[in-house]
Amino acid sequence: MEYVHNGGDTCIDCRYIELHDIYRYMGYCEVKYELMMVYRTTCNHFSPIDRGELWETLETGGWLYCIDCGEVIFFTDELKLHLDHRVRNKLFSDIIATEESPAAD
Amino acid sequence: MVLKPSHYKSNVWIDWCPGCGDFGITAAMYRAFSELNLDPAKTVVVSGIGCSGKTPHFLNVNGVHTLHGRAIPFAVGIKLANPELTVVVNGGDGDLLGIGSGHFVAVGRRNIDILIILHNNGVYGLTKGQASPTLSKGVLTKSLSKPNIQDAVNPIALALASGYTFVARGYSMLAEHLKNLIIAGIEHRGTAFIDVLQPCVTYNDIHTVEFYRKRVYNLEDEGWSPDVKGEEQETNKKLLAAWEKSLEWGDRIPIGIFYRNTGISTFEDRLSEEIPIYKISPPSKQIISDEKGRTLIDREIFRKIFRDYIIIRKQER
Amino acid sequence: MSVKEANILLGGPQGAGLETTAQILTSSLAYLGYGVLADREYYSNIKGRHSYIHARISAEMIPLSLSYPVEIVGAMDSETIFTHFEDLGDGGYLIYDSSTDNRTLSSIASMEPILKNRITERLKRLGVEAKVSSLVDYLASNGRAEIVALDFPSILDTFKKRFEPEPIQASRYVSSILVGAVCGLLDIDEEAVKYGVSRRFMKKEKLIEHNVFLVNYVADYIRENYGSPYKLDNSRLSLNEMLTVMGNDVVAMAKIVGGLRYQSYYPITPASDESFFIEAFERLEVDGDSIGGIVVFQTEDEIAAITSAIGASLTGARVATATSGPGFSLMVEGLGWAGHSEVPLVITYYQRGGPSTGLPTRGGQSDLLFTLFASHGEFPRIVLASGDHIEAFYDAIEAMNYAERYQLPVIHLLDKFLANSFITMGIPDFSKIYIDRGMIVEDGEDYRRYEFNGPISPRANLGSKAVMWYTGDEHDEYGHITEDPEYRIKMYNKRMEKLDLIDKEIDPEKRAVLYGDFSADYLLVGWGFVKGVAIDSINKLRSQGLNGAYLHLKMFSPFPSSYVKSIIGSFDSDRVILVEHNYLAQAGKIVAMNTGTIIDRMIVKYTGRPIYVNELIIGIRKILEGEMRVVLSYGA
Ligand SMILES: Cc1ncc(C[n+]2csc(CCOP(=O)(O)OP(=O)(O)O)c2C)c(N)n1
Ligand SMILES: [Mg+2]
Ligand SMILES: [Zn+2]
Repeated sequence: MEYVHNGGDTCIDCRYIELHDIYRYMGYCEVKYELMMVYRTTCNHFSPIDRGELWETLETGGWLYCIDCGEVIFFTDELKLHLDHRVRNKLFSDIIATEESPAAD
Repeated sequence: MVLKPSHYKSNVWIDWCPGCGDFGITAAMYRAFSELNLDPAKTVVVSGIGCSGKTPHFLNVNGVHTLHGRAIPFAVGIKLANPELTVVVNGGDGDLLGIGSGHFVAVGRRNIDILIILHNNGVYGLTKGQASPTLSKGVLTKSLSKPNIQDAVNPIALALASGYTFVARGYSMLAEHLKNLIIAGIEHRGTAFIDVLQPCVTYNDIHTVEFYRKRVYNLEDEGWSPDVKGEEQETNKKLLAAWEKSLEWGDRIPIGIFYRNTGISTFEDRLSEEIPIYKISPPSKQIISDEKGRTLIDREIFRKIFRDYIIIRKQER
Repeated sequence: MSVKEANILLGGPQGAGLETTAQILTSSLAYLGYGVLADREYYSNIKGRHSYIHARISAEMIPLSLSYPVEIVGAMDSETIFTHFEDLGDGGYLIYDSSTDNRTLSSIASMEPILKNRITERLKRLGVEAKVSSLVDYLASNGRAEIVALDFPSILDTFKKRFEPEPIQASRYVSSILVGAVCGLLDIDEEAVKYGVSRRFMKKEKLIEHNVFLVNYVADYIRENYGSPYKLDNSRLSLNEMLTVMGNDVVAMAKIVGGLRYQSYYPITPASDESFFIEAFERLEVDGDSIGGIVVFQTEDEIAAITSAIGASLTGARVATATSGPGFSLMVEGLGWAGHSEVPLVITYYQRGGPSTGLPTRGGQSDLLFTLFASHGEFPRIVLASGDHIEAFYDAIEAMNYAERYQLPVIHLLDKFLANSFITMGIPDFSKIYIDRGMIVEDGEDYRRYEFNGPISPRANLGSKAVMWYTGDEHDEYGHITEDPEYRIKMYNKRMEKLDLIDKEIDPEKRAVLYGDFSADYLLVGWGFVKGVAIDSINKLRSQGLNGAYLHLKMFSPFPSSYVKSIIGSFDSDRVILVEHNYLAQAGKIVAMNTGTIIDRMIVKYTGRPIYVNELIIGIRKILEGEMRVVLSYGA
């Protein structure tokens, strides 16, 4: 992986962070309303992602997204392939795509 | 053998935006197909053009990715020629209610046994977020330069008015609920329609996950009963109630089955009345020549079939 | 005295018995073994405007073309007399209703003012008052024509004294007067009359009795008073059984024989009659047993017609759709999808006068370029045009075979002239018919719909054991989207190389047919319904010492380039003449595009009426005398 996570309670694993949908080193903090470089930052609001909760979301919502792999996860079986990855149900999407994605089809 | 949901997933990389509402619809389809244990070779997913149009490529069943707005008539041809197939249409709101709205209405009049899933994201996703026919007047999404000046069409009401015999609404973030609707829609004999509310994470910043989370509620939880069996009076009552329900939009948005009529003949039934062998031997199944390539109709049969067009010359005495 | 052939024109208000007249006459004539070709000319109107039937009857052959002048003009109303009096040849017979003697031209509301003015001018020049009796007198006194004056109301009164006419069938009785007059002039016997009337009114005994009486009553009167000036020779045709059909019927029959199982359509003239015909046979019952079933599906528009046909084709059904110009305009995007996705599909295309709604009920050949180039992008297609009813039969079956063999759309080009003209013809030769469904597979493992296997990949159908994908996007062997540039070349080539394969497999002499030989003095080049008139005109000119040949173009894509080039190349360029029903001489453009040979002499007609022998002969002479372009215009 390009960005090595140096371990510990950095923002990247915080439940208040919506990870950026393309550049996984960034995230939006719902508490600070701030863009964070999530690999290295830490903060005292830190509260870890609850994996169990996430798996439940997979059950009712139908999907999770692995930001590291750029893949949609539909089945619990598939989760095994992404154990150490940043898997989320909610992502941070900035406004840029709206402006600069060329129209298709 | 029971096929697991994962069996219905193709190995094509899903290139929708991360977090796209289409994820939930696709997830629900995998699950529904698995629960119904559909034979992938006897199942056809037909789509139009748009982000939603890519759906069949991500499913491991037959897929026909057609033209913008035309998924329904393609699907109709497939179903009529081979009624044994399970046929599901996936279309965008631009696809089914804009460019393809004529087909959307026409199929309701026929009650052909297919399921139509509307990917209702309020925008034209793949062409960069222009207002779709389901976006309300005055709404300004981030992709628009000024508030929308066209009114929205009400997909549920339009389906009811067009004669659909199964009309439902789902929400893409509730895949498990949507799965049940899809199952019910496929099991329904007749044209089934599911309006799926779907966030577009890139172009629609109004109808977001947040927006829907607060508003969506389940009709079933409030004791709604959608069922009727064809009797005219009852049907009209149900239709009226469903119609009224379809107007509910704002703080509370109902999802679930609005209307289900199991007493209307399907188009396939109607065809069978015209052509008795249709059900056993539909167009796709008929042998039309012998092994040598000779036609089934030979000169003698030709003379019999077309006798009204043949004149036998007066015999000279 | 007797004649080998007769040309007749019957006119009357639309929707008031003219069709009945034509059908009874055709059946009676066919019963006696004569060949008949009858063109129906009518307005885009339900009831009341002028329509007419122009026919040639022959004791020697199945007529291929029509010509003026005619020997008989039968007028159900005064508009017919004014419109067609000059179509009548010297010494010909005008049958008309003498109760209309006082009718003036200006009082005919249904006639278009433009035509009214033209006729007014013409009559002025002839010094004839614009009134039926004056015109009739003029024709009679100049010895130009024999006048058969029948007082229609009093004939019907006589009839009414014996029978009780059925009020709702009123127009039928008027038809029978005209039928009777023609039968008298041609000396068609009572048995044949009875046959023709019975066929027309199938099992409606009273109606049959009434009309047989009426026809014979008038026919006898004519025989007594005029003799039978056009008594036909006994037929020398060797056919013992004849089909009496319109072009629409022939194509429908062919599709049924050829195994069509799904036809979609949206109503449009002159194509819908074909679909109605097929629908009438949807159960395919023979002696009470069904040997198949055909779904004929009326869609919400032509877009649905073509796309649902494509859908049905994907399941393995033999499919077609039938339409005309405006409908095809809507089908264009679907056509491209079928070409791109390699779907067998037949589009039966009946040309009418365009552009836009144009002349909806008139003929034309102005859509050749459109069919060849319609839809964006490049994809292989077959465009096949038929020249007459018999060709249309075999071509309709061949079109379905080609579509499946080569997995592509086939456009079968016809026109209104053919669609709506009646003909008597023999029962098709079944030894010439076969069914080819191409390469079909059933198995499922790792199936690739677009397997690189030469231009044609084995076709599995939706519903077989295979799972497959289709998309209008560029795709890989499985049918999934790919935009890879190198793969693009491979898949693109695979598609386009079908054209080379077809070019190799289908004999050029089937795609372009030369009538006559290389030693001819001039060469006509045409296609579609031009065939008959071209051949007949050549024959006529041959008897006048001019030896011509006709090159009949049948397949425009893929075009039999070198064969056509060699034929055209062996004639002096000022002796090669295009004959077409359009402005641009469109086939000439295709010849130039494919062979590099520019044909710059042309005879064209775009009035919506067929080309007639009389005018084509003049046109040919003009070109041979040095004119470059002749525009024909004969016909009301
Ligand atoms: C005939 C035609 N017109 C226009 C387009 C361009 N086009 C592609 S997708 C699309 C709109 C898609 O919107 P929608 O149907 O709502 O699907 P979504 O992408 O939102 O799922 C349009 C207009 C086209 N492909 N074909
Ligand atoms: Mg949309
Ligand atoms: Zn991962």
